[in-house]
Amino acid sequence: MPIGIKSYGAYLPRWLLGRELIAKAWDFPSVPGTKAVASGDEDSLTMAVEAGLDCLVGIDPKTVDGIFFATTTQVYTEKDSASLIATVLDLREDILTADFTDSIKSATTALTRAIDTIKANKDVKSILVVASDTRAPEPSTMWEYGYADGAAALLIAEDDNLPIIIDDYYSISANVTGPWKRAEKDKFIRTFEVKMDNMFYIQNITKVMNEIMKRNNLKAEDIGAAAYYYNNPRVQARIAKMMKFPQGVAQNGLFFQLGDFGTPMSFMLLISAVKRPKEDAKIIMAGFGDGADAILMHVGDKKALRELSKDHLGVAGHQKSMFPLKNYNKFIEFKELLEKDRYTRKSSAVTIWRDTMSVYKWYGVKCKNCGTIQYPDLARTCYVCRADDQMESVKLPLKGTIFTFTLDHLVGGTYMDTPVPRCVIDVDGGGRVLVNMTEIEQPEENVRIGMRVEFTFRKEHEGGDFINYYWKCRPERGRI
Amino acid sequence: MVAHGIKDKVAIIGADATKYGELWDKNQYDLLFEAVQGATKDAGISKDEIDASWIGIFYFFTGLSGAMVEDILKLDGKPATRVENYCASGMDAFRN
Repeated sequence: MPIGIKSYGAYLPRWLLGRELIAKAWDFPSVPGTKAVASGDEDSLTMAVEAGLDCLVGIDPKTVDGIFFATTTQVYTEKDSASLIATVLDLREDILTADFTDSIKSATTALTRAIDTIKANKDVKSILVVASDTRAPEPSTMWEYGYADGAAALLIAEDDNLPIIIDDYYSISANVTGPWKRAEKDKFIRTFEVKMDNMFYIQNITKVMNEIMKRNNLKAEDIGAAAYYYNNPRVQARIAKMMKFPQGVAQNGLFFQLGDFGTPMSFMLLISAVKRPKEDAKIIMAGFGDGADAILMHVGDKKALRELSKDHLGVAGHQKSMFPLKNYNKFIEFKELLEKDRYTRKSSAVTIWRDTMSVYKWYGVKCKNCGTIQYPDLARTCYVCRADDQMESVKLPLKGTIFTFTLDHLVGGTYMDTPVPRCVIDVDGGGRVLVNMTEIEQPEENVRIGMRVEFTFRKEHEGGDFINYYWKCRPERGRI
Repeated sequence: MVAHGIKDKVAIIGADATKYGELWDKNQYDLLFEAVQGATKDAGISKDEIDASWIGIFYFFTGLSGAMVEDILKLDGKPATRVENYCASGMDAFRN
């Protein structure tokens, strides 16, 4: 059975920062375009959850045999992220989890490891590879124009009728002191000489693509789409020319409007490329960072591929619901680059472990006596019929309607905007929950009873000196 | 003292205690539920026959009310009182 991409998903945060706002903040020459910026309550882990949810639309999470998570912006340096992402996405316990990190090619590296694992292990039929990054650029440097936040996920599987079939991969390893960030010493990514970094990048990415084409007897005109990482549109075009790719083959659609995503960039370029696939053409995806990986693919089941672009928001679907940030300061605030004393709440690792089903996995309970769904899942007595110990666990949908709300003007913690809407939501299919709302501008005018919302996994606070995640609601973005 | 005033008028008809220990998989609500379930069983009455409740809680934050008992047991509309007196909270709830 072939191995390939069974499903894809992406996540772009809500905000777009106009590059002219960065230029204005520092009195720099203006640069056109915008870039994607995550809210203050997001990190690489929460964005990975979102991309995972988008990827698993229509797929039972209990059928997935592993999660490989790729990022350069780990939320912990001891404690992995893949296991928490797997918990929130409600995967089984007997799965493989691993984090791939420290290089922006870790996404394509994780993907190649997923291919090998599926090939080698008969019990592993599918692995979700999620890449996510939220790199903070040093203020008043050119990196501010590029670095963007986002995530992308590919479900790699051994199956019939795969939309995209993987033919081959090829990797090279190469060491150079290119962009770096010393562990526990550097706050921002450093570089010695950008021109040298570029030269090294061009050498590696062209070499890895040339080699994989040579191994498979392919010429430039056989390639229908080339999704290779880039962080500079001019260099991207130069590589396309060097590779002799025909017009329109090299994917260059992301940087101008969305920026340089780092680790998930190559996945996102691929997802954009296969939205309008050329029949029978080969697809190359390549990642770069202390070496390079190239993955060679072709379109398999065309009908399945069309279905994917219908059911998943992907890159284009998320782009439709992005808003411009009003000013540069918001961006600095979101990235916590502004020194501020922050109120810390109390927390308990025991409580979070005990309440994993409701807090992370988003399960409620259903009364076997009267059928009422309630949340959280701790209740042993039914709210409606008062029967004791008649509860069974049920997964709650991630959509609902505002039943009532209040606007909290006295909120503490890391909230960027006040008032914070505290909303009581009627979950679709039953159950009523109390959550905060995020990503709402002018809540006084915009929050209304009866408003449709989606639940999204966010950083709530850092009480207990660890990250306390929980679900919030947001105005709909169209996630299925 | 008032104690003699209730002589032969008030009785303890059921009692129960949860298991003691480091019960990581249980919260205060679970323990309350278990103890009440045990006590009503001991008394041979149903939960619906409870007319009022007193609860003693001492916790490092305040703001909990007696309604906590109602929330857990769903004793809607029955009077509930919360008593706090440090480590004597339980005894004082009983005395009240």
